[in-house]
Amino acid sequence: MSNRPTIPIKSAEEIARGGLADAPFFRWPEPSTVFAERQMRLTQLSNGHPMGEYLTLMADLARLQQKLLDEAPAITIPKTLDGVDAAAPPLAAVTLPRASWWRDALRHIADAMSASTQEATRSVLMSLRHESDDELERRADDLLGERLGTRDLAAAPFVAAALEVCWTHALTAWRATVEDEGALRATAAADLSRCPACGSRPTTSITRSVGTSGGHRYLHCSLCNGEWHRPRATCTCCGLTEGVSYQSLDAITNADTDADAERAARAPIQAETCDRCNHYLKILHTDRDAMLEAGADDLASITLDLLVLESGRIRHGRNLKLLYADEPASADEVANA
Amino acid sequence: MQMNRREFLRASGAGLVGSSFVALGFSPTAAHAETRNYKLARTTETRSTCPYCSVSCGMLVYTLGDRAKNVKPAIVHVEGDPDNPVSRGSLCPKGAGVLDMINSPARIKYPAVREPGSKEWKRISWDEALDRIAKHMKADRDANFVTKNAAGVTVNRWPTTSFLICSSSSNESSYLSVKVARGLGMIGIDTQARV
Repeated sequence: MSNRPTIPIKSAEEIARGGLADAPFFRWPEPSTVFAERQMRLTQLSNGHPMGEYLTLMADLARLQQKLLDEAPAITIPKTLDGVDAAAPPLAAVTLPRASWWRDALRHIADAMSASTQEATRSVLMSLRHESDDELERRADDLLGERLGTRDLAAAPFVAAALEVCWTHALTAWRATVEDEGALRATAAADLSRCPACGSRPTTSITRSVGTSGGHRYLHCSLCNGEWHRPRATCTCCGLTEGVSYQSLDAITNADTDADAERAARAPIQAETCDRCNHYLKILHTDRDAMLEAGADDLASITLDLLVLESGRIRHGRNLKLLYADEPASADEVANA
Repeated sequence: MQMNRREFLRASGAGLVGSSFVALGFSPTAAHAETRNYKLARTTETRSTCPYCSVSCGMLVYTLGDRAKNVKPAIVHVEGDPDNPVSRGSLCPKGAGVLDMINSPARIKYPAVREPGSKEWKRISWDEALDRIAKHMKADRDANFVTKNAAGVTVNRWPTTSFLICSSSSNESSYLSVKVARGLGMIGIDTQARV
């Protein structure tokens, strides 16, 4: 991590003249590498991590996702789907008809992973392998509709992985039809706390510096891997700027010296908390650490989540590789936990 | 925003219990233990405007400390604001070094006067400073005010004092500054645009 601020330095005349490009409103996923990069980063982070085995399992899952996306059947998606309102996300998670191959993708994941993993995981994958189409569709409906029950949690990352491939593929196909991100501006105007393409919650936010634009913050979609722009120092959930602050991890042994404090201000991963709506979303600073990858680093920075959740905040982000139940647990389930 | 029951359960310190991690048979002990090695450090990011020149680049100013607690806030880092429509995250070398001006021991934080014949700067209050400036201005204006030019036309000029306006003023404060200075008859008006 560099100790110097990374600011694009220009002369005052150059700045006044303009000539600085507009940052794109939406960044499309790169289908040839999106999951491969996540796999690499998860593998790298798993070494010595308190959740190392889990990260390795998820790296393996990401590897399969890349393979499935590479081999996905060619599809065409019209600019506007029948019955979809212009102000609604065009590829909405809850309304877009799912291509049946997502179930084949899930069964492929279950087959490929069942040999290599531990007992509890293996039995989950075996039972997924034998579930009917209807049962799998119900799982997808619950997951995408954010109605995930506690009994479905174990299978959820695998179901989500297949759906994530499906939506990333759909977004790429849709991009070929619409050509640019202009088509998403209408839906974005409605609710910027969710993905303008598929209406899902973000996994995390991440800063991007490309060409002459530097440090713009994008929200990374948990389902379709698209990214949409949101201004910095603004709550990503309620859109207000008052009461936004940043929490980062600091070793407990550190005294409160100026050097420690300064390091905290430049931490590559911070939780952006809002005192108004009480939600938080992480921000990953790629100009402080170029290796950061949205899905992988969000998962591996769980310690930050746990401490921020302990302080009473609510997570706005959703990571499909570490899912929590959306439905309240029944009294029995709480007693058994 | 209202917190419903599910959000309350999630926020109530259950940690990884109730996540797919535990549901898949992994033990949360190590991950939960890891949290004991860390504490949270808090910073805030505030939008500001570079004080130096008329471009008025947007800045993100990083402040340490929890404003709710009795901790003195300290500015630790300054970056260009990428969302500013004028500068889009850029700063010139002078603006990028503004942190050193903010934290400089030589920075002037209050009015001071060095009286005639004295070698020392003496701290004075804002009221004293404004009174003193007003007196000097009035004396100079009374002595040098020009009501008519050589041709006998009324001009009401005050040619011996000029006015320097802050570079990053808003439209409104620039308007008011010019009105006040011109109203007094000043001719020399400038802004600290590229100093």
